[in-house]
Amino acid sequence: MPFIKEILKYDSLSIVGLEKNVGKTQCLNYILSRLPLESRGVCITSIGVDGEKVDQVTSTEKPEIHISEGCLFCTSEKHYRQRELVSELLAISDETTSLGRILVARAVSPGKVMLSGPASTPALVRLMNTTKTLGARLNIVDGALSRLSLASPAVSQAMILSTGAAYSANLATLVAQTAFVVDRINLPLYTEKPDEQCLGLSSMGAALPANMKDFTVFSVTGALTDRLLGRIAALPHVEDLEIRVKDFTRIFVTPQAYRNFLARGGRITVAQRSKLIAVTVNPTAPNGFVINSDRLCAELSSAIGLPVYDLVKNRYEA
Amino acid sequence: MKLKHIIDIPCGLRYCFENLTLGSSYSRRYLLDMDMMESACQIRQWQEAMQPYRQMVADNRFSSLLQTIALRYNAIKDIRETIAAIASGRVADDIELFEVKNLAMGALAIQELLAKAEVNLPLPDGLEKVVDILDPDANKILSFYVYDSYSPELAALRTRIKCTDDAEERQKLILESQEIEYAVRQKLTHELKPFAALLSDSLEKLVVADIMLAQAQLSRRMGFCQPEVSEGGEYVLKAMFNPHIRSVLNEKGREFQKIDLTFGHQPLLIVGANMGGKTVVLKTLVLIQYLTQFGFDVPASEARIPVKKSVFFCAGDAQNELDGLSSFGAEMKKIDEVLKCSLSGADILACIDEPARSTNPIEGTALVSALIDILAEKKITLLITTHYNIDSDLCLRMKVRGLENGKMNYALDVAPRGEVPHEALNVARSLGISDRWLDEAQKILGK
Repeated sequence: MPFIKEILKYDSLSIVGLEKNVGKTQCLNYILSRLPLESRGVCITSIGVDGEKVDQVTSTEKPEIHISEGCLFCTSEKHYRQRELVSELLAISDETTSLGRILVARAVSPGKVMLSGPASTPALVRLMNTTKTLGARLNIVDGALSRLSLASPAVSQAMILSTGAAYSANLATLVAQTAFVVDRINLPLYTEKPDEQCLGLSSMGAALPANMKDFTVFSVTGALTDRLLGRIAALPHVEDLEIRVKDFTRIFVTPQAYRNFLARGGRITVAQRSKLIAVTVNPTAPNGFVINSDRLCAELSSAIGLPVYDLVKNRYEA
Repeated sequence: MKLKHIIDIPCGLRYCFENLTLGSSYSRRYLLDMDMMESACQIRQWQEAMQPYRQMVADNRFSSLLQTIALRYNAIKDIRETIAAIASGRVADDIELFEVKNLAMGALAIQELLAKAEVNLPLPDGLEKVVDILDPDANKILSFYVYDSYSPELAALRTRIKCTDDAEERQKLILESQEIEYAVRQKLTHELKPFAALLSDSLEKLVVADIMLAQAQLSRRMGFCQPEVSEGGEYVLKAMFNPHIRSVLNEKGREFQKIDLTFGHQPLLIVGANMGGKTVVLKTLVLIQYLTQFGFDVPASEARIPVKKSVFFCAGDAQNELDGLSSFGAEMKKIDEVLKCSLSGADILACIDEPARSTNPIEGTALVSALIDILAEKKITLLITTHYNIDSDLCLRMKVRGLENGKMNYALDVAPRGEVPHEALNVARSLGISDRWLDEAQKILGK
């Protein structure tokens, strides 16, 4: 039973899919069904709408979220009324969505539910604070389509990444693109030295300061873009340069520019990082295309240096 | 006139409102939607009801209790629609029943907490019954679902659902249980229906208590005093200040000079140097008038305030090109409104900042003099600031002390009739305006 013990070390976990239909909900159900019974106080939260029976975009069948007795969950008023389980309503939060206010409830009997959550990360953080006061010791955030921002360390301490044939049907491309995301998640933390000279930069500014070449450490507020990275990479002595960003969700650069900068000896560091616990794959794309699962797991694992799981094929025992 | 209609009049009312520490989000909306109190009796009743909260806030022993109460208030929401639905007999769902239970339990908890500080929150009798209906197992926990104990049949069904592996059978049983749940909720709604009026009443009492508590806290934090509502027309204000302007000055490391002001029915004409705080006096008076009539304490050490039917604040630059009005046009229209209102016999407070300032001084002086002559006989409290030389027996004249050794003294003194102060050049010089310009002006004045 891989990575379940690891999850219990953290008080928040997000599950992020790089694309729709990459097995994110499968992964959530896998975790929920295998969390040890003594670990009560699990709360499932989501960002956006999730748990639909049929995928709203590709019309493929999707697994519903199955909740066990005693588990807390957050969902909107509309989805709460449609739930297929007995649950005790604990609180009505101040967060509202197009589907009504977000409620917090505890499952009294096991069953299925549609999840929906606040649409913004600050609202999600507020909601998670509410669930903590109601007894949630582990908050699991089920993310909507390619919402990397919710995996920001500002929201959750740990994360699981789901990828698969839906993201790219070409094995080499899939491995390369997933590895690029993993690289960014695993960027090292920086430590501020007392006497260092650090130049603050913003990609929003029209003109960059003329004295850039006098600095070796750059602190980027907001997003690190290709244009900004290009300007920094054009400075002499790239091997001495360090770019600091808040966290990996602030990096918006092409893999080429990113790898080029690192290959020349430059460093990119972050203020906060979340722990990537595992990567899961779904080798089947919604159009029916299937990649060889074992090969995908092996190649991706060697590219990122982390274990990769196909939860459906292997049916890991509880 | 509701608070939301006047809150953005530029006198600092919004600042006071935003500094209220209201526990419930509904209290905020309730207060914004409150009508201005227009009788002294009404205001005195409000002040009297506020008295226990004032004492509670003044007692340091209760500071942690106040936080607990604020936390409980957080859960008090505007559920008028739910209450109306129950009153109409529509079957409430789980969420609505939770809201009702939350209100009833929250109200009783807040009442109990307030009682610790010897504050009596008079809630209607019967809330305990509402809690009993929605808490059949007497868990005393704030949560709700259609409990097993409501129906033995439902409990049995739920056990069967748990034990069934067959998906089709399970679906059938779930549908069956949902029908029973509906019947239970129907029964609960029916039982709750007679309590609808009581629930609305409790909600309103809770919210008013929250507002009074917040007003008492604001008053203590900002050093306000309880105004005495007077029947006569006389205003007495000791050490009055404008909290918003004070906070801006304090941020810059400067102090707000508090002002004393006493005047009666006679129109009050305030003259004095530029930058002498004349406009601030008007703004603060407007603020104090509104605060009093919405049940607040006021920023002064002592205050006697007559109650007014409405308040006008005409602050100069109301230019609106979109309406095709210049600043002069817009101003004249606004002052004309004051005139019409006072001619109808209403008791109003009108504060007019430098009327007719944007036209030539000869016609301007005539316009202001005429305004004073007409309004002096009416039942209206009129304050006008001006630089014009108004020669009228009908008004009380006050003058800002002005520059003393290069420093502005904002105090107001009763001044005799005669020339208006000529301090504009000195004030401009203290601001560091080009000497060349000011010297040239001095020369022209000398001719």
